[in-house]
Amino acid sequence: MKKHYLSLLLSILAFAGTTATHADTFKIDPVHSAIIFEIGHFGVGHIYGRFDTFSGTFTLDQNDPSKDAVSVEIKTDSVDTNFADRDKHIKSPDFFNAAQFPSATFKSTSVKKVDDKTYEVTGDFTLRGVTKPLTLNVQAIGSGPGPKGEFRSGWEATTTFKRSDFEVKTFLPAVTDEVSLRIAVEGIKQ
Amino acid sequence: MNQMVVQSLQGVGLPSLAVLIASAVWFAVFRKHPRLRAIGVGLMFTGGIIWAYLLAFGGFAFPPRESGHWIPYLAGVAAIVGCLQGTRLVRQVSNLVLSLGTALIFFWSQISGNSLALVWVVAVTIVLFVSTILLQQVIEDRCSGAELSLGLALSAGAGGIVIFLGGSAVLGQVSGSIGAILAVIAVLAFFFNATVGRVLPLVYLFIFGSLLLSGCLFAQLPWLTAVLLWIAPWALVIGQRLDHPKISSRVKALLIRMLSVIALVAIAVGSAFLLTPPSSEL
Repeated sequence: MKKHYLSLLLSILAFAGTTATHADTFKIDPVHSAIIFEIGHFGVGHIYGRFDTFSGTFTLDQNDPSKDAVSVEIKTDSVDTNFADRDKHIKSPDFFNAAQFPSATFKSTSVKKVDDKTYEVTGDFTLRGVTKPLTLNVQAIGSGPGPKGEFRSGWEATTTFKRSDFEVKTFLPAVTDEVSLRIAVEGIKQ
Repeated sequence: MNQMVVQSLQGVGLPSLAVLIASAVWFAVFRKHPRLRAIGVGLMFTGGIIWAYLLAFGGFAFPPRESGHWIPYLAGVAAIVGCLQGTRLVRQVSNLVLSLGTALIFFWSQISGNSLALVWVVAVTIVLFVSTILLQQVIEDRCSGAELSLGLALSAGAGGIVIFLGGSAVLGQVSGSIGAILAVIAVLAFFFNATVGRVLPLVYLFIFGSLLLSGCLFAQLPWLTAVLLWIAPWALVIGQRLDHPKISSRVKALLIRMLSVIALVAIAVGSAFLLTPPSSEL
């Protein structure tokens, strides 16, 4: 009888061990990350800009990538296009209206593994108070110890969206509706 | 021509052209009904503003999520309030409620636990409400329809320039459109020797006030510039209304009457140029 209970206990423990989640949370390191956007200008060129202030986390589940998650918050008044007058205009009610909407956010709702290094992350993107679904094409860059021994994981994501979907319609079509976004992040394991 | 310049010209020109034609017909048809004529031109002014908003913003947002989205709805409500009959008390209570509503549009989301936001709500309500009394009771009695419309047109037109300088081309375009619409109404009011009633000044107050507030709070319009443009039409209390059969005499009197308004508007625009240098972004 004792043997029976002992083997039952061992089975339970073994089962619990194989199904235990192994999810790690990473905090985005803004010093080694970048969020860059590109938008067309009068059909003759592109304007590039970045956001200097952002934060977020991502969670990686080794056993079940569908449980991965990412959450990012971007401060809209940190936009930088290397020209102060344009930055002022982008922060105004004509574009981001940063005074009324200080943040743009992305919160993932699903993750689909395409191959070992590629994922499609779909989530809710909120810009200027409007929330729409957005899918990011995500590539794993690498992971390993950082300069201070901390464990880091690096990813790059790209996506395109229409700014008119978020009711940012100023200067269409001279300044294009499509905006390309490139997000490169390094996260530090918590 | 630059595509954006064309769009801006359309945004300003189309509503004012439409109001010119519609108001000219209205003035002619209701020549012997001054009250109806005034209400009609006020409603056409409101319609012109709503169309100008549509051309600038590309559509209406419902429900409104930010203060700029409220402009067309505020214009409609102000027009309805302006059409209200009833005692002076009823009209003033309506104006007070509208003033408070306008203030809340800007500060509602910040009120909770923020006494400074409450102070702003009270201050903006008082400024708007007192302005409705001053504009409708003081200036209307001393100005012809043409003088009042032209004075407001100068402020709103200059508002378009300074709000654009402050960083918002879209809000600047709406303000410029209002100026253009008021200018055509001024011309019609001059030739038909018509008054413009209560609707037009009331709609102007709340919409132009909202544009100036938006420019100061959410773009970089200097407060000094906004205040100068806000008070410029009050310079119309200087001088006397002159009704003279000769058009040339009336034109001369109108221009002399406008000098004080032009001076204040010029100072306002000058202050904007000094405090926010022009953008070379494009």
